[in-house]
Amino acid sequence: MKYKISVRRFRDGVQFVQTYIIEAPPTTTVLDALINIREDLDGTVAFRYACRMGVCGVCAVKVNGRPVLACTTKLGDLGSHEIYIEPIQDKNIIKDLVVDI
Amino acid sequence: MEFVQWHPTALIPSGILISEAARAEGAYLVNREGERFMKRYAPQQMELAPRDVVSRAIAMECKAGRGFMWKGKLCYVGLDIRHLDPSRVKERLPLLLETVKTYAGIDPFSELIPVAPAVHYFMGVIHTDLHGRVLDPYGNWIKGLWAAGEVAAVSVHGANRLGSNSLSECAVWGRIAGEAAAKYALENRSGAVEEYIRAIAEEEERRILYVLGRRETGGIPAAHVKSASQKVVTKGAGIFRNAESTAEAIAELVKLMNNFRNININDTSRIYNMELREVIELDGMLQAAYALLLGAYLRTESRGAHYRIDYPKRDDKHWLRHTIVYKYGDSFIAAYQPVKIEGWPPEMRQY
Ligand code: FES
Repeated sequence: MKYKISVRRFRDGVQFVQTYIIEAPPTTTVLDALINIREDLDGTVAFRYACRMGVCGVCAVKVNGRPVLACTTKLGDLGSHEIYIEPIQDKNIIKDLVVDI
Repeated sequence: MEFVQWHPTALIPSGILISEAARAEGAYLVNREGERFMKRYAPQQMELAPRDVVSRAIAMECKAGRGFMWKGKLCYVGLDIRHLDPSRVKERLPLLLETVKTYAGIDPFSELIPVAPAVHYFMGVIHTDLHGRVLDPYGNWIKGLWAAGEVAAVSVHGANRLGSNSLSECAVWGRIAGEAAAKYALENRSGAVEEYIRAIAEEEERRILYVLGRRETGGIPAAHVKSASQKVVTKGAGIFRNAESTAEAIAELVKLMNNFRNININDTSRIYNMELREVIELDGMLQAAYALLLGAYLRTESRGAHYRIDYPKRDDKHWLRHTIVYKYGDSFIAAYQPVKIEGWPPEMRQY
């Protein structure tokens, strides 16, 4: 399945949106999609994760406007092939999706 | 380092652990023929045999072609909870139900849960004494350095950690090492760290910031070297090992270590640089992998999680010893230290 993933990025005081097109099965989690982007397309995107199984909470981001855990949210459950990912809060953004929590 | 624990039941394909509690509640492990295969490997303990025994049993079933295949490339077996009382499962194993539903999309009350062994825990790693102090190869404390947790080899686990025993590492040794380190820092306010250690730290910082952080475009992505090294170590020193497989893996790993020099970092910023962190981790990973493979190659016996097909028996006469791998310049050297047996001498393992 083709997904258009837009990530709201922030670095060195500049904010912008970057879009990536990925091929992934609908069972892929948002976190795995981000990891794929890092590994194959753009190693500079920054985000947090640890347990990868919905326990620790550090992968929280906003997906299509809703706060979710990236590691428990599957692309296929979002009801759209266009996915917009932004930091969980607008304040204290350290870099890209990483916020000071 | 050669003692690596495989957890027998990680969910396919995500690798998330399905707790032992499932088998403790009475879940079965079955192969493609619907047979409870543990009867062949541990007729008395069955599914409750230790992790290394169950992991090997699953690998054997896969070798014999009695496993299921995931996308034609990953062999797994079924964890069966269908005969258990659903209300009890809901009460006792809520995390299992949620995980299986989210990550495998399966209803475990009507389908088998797909599971396979996955690397879980390192029994060895940093050489410490009982107080969590890090030791050099000669057994002297490296002043100012402690290690606690999975990273430390205090030797509570021997060659095979039992479930939940890692808690003692954080609860007991975390406290011992933490308190000792705090006390030491208070008592040695200035010069707490020896000069040569400070020099090593500074050298390391320079290496990271200027050598790793200043690559131009081109080169190989770190993720490729990482996944290649995972494959090499799993193939060479996974659940089963032998002289040939470990020797081949060492040769492959050396190639990857050379590739490491050509890894490219795109992100050159100094703030939350995930790429840089991953490359530093990979550097450590490759070296740890080398120590692991070397230990596995040299240990010509089978003990706990270390299983050599060419030496399937435990050999207490020669191998009641710790392997200590250290670096001298760019070379890795393996040294040995006898295991001190205080209370219980090792016995035959029978299940
Ligand atoms: S990574 Fe821990 S909750 Fe998502």
